[in-house]
Amino acid sequence: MLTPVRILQVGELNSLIRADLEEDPDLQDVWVEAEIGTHTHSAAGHHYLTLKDCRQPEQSSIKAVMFRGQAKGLAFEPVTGQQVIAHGKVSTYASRGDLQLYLDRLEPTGVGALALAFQQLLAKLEAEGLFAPDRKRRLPLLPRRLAVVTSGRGAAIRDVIHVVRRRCPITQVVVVPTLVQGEGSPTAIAAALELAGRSDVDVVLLVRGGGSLEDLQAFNSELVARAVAACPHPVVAGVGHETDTTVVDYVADLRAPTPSVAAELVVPDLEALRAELAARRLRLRRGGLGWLQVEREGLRQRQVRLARMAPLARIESGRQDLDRAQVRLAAAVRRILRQEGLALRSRNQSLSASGPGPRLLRAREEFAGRVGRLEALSPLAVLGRGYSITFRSDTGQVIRDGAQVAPGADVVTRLHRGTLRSRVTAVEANQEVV
Amino acid sequence: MERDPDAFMTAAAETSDLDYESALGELDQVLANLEDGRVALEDAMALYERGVGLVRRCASLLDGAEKRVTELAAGPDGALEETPFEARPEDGGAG
Repeated sequence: MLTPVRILQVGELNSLIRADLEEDPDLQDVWVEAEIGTHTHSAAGHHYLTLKDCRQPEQSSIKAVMFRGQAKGLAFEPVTGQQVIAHGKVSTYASRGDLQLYLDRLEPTGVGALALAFQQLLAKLEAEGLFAPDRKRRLPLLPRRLAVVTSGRGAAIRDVIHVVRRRCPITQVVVVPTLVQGEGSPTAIAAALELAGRSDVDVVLLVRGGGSLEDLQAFNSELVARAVAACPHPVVAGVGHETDTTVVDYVADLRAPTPSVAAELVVPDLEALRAELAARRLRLRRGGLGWLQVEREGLRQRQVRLARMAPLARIESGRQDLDRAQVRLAAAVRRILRQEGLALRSRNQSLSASGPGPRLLRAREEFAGRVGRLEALSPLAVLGRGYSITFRSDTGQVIRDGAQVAPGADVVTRLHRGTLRSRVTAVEANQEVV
Repeated sequence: MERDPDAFMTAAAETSDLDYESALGELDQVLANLEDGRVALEDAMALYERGVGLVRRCASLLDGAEKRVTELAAGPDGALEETPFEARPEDGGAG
């Protein structure tokens, strides 16, 4: 007698295998360390991979699939040769009986895992142009209000407030407190950035003190990076210590190595601004009122040149006029002195002892007039532009300061064409204009 | 924004709505024009007066009092609420 043998259909066999596999709890909750062999990311969003044994990649491999639903949580794009830890269940593809690992988690392994996710996000955002130099916004010179997105407790906010108080206490600090690490921190930071973006501030600081690489992960999340890019105000990042670089550093309009430095970059040194303004105030005085002094200097130089170049005859005739005036003056003085019945020893003595008489004054005025006419020949372009020069009529001194004359004093004003003789009615001396 | 090339010549124009940066930028333009020395007297006077107004505007912006630190939060309706900031005790690591 032949023992009856049960003959199965292929479909029945596949179902049997499948049922057998799915009854084994060890095969339904599997962690496996592997190296990615081939990888395909289908148009539908599923990942098809072969996972190879890490130690003997040429000898053992298994097919694996991660469907779109599970792949949503994937923080990186799998590539061939990558070391991974995978989790899932073993089953078969019913129609063909192919044994597969159905993955629900896939993570790069080792310390390189975060670095890899970092590099991949960096590459993705850069490809979108989020780091482009022309996206960087200029910071305001003097922010009125400054939002600080950071933890409400801890050193970072204290440091920022300290720097702002020291450098620029007139800038208002608006703290937007947020969770900065751990579960939910990317969402919290993005929400705080959105809040800061809606508020009336000129610039936003996104800062956090130093921590481990894991502590800084929120600042490497795509969510936070996009929130920085979307902020309507310029964002300055100051995350961790000097050596830490996060994705946020690339997206921000300006990157600072620490929270304190971020604050230093954002607010100006108020005393320096005041000194700068004082220097401009001085330049304005020099450029406005004091500008006349520059012109005066130019005028003086032209006079010197003119004196050197003018026809000698003119000067000589001036001198002769003066000599004649002096001779006549001396004669007049002698006559006056004789009338007074006083003895006269010499012409020089009489001149120095008696002081100038009215004729000497007239002669001086005459002389001054001649010199004045001589000067008028010079290219006094400045007078042509509307400037004028005012002299005291008694001493001929140029008036630079109201204090040089008193009400009632006679002054002479020389214009481009003509001269004004006036009497001072009031003096408002020493008025600072700026 | 295009600046009217003659706008800075108007001494009487208001400066009170200029921010520090715009006022300082215009002041530098005024100074450059004055120092160039080729402006006629009437224009120089107008420039000078405008310069004085701009210096005063800048000075007033630098003269504010020390500001209090505030804290921003969203109310239940999403509206922004600003209150005085109280530093929380440190809990280590989060800062």
